[in-house]
Amino acid sequence: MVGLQTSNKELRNLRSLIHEKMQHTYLEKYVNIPEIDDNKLFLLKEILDDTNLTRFQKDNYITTTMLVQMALDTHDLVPQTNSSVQTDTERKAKQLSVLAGDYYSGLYYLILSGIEDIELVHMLAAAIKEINECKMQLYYNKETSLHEFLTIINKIDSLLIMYVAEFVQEKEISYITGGWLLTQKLLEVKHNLEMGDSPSLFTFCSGKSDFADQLTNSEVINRLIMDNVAILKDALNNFPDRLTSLKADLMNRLNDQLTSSRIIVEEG
Amino acid sequence: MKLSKTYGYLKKELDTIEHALNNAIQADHTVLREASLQLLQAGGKRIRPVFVLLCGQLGDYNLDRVKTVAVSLELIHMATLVHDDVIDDASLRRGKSTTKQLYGNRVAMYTGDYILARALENITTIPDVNAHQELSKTIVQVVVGEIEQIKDKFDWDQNLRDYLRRIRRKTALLIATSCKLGAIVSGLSETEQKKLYQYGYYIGMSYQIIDDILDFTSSANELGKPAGNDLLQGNITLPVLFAMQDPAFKKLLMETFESPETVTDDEMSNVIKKLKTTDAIEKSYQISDHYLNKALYALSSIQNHKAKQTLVNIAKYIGKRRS
Repeated sequence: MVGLQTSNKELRNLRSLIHEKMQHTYLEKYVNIPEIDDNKLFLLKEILDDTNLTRFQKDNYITTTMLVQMALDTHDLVPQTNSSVQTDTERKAKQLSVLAGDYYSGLYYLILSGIEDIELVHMLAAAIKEINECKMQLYYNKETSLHEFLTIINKIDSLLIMYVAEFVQEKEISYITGGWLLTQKLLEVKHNLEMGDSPSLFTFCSGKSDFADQLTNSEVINRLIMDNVAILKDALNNFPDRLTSLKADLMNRLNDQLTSSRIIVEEG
Repeated sequence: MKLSKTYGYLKKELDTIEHALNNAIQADHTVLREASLQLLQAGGKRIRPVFVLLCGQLGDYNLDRVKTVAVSLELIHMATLVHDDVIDDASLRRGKSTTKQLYGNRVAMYTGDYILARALENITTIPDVNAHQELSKTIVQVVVGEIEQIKDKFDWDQNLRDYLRRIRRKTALLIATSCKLGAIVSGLSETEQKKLYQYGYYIGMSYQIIDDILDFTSSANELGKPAGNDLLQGNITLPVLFAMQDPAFKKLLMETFESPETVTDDEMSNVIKKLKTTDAIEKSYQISDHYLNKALYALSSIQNHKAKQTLVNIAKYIGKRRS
């Protein structure tokens, strides 16, 4: 994955904590459980580190939000048709992917009820509801423009974290969440493209360019990254003083990523 | 007599709940809304809302609070059904096309996730932490039960304990929780909450055992699916467990299901016929009756009330259910 240095000890500990909660031997035997998204984990940590919550609360907020994310991601693994499900193992994998997602959803409610944080259960449920509305939109609106398409996939990607940021009243970070995650996704697309892969997001983008026809597919992705980074940097520059350290961290990370991706963004 | 006759006087309250259920799933996306509504309109006994209502009426009854819980529990049940149809690759439920059949697996997954989210959004307007701890524990247990069911498929060596633990999670816990949540939001004492939970739990066990019996004793027409369908799917239920105590039957079963996907209708009919020659059905009814008696005993210390009498009548109805 393009992006963050995941060797950070705190992130590693959080990942272990989430894996520990998700642990289920039989599910793991059959289900191809998705990777924990380090970009989201990092943002969540940054959001919560800026609050006065206790470490215990922060860990539980991060764990439960990521459990919801894992639930949604696992359900995306369920094959659209059953014709691709032929063998007994494939059938079990499909069945258990449904149940694994349901299990992680149940765990999020269980953990938050355990710490008596019913309001966050409510907030995350509202996010899940909206994300599924967006997934339906994406599923049925094949003919949408590139801009609409990116807006929908970005909502699917970022709503959960935005809801948490708003819940803990970190409005500034909530505002950059979408831009940050979209940049990460586009950088990943660029990286995969350079490695010779053609990720689905790119396949879609290549046929939906809102830019001049003469641009190559690779140039479209580069342009999208540049435009997005310019907006993101602008938002980061408007961060309040109390977020100076986070701003510096995000800027550094972004600049490192852009350098390694050989992208030059004109400063606004 | 139909089960709904035993609580016919709750029609007005149940209509209010039906209306609230309808409102709860008014999604913005047309297909999501249609898929959710189609599921709702397919009907169902609404047995969980009935238990919430009745147990709620035993205390400081407030329809709004009770309605919130009843709607949420029914939504949770509905969400489970949509996902179950993906798991079972089922095309029909209650004689109507499933969400999976109409729109595909992906939409069924989104619909189930959406309905569960609506259930949680709705129930979290109730501030009582105990209610949430109880419900969340149950939701996790229900899923674990389904995982266990897949794990135990065609495992001929499982025992009575495995079966009882599975139906406890599959059916009994959500009914028990419906009763307890009705009691919690109506301010009943902890002892009363516990007794009503026990009532719901034992009723749920009995109900599922009878369902499992009916899978062999009812006709395909009555069931809306082939007789012995549970066994065909690899689910080893109580009648099969008892019948397997006869070595000849166990041998026949293992030979028939050596390659489950090739079992013919005639072979299945033969297995059912042989099962009925054993005392498995009778023994299964005895276990069901044992749970029913425990359910009635749990109610004995609850104060007299019309709602209590209805709970007794439901238990008796379930005990007599033969189709």
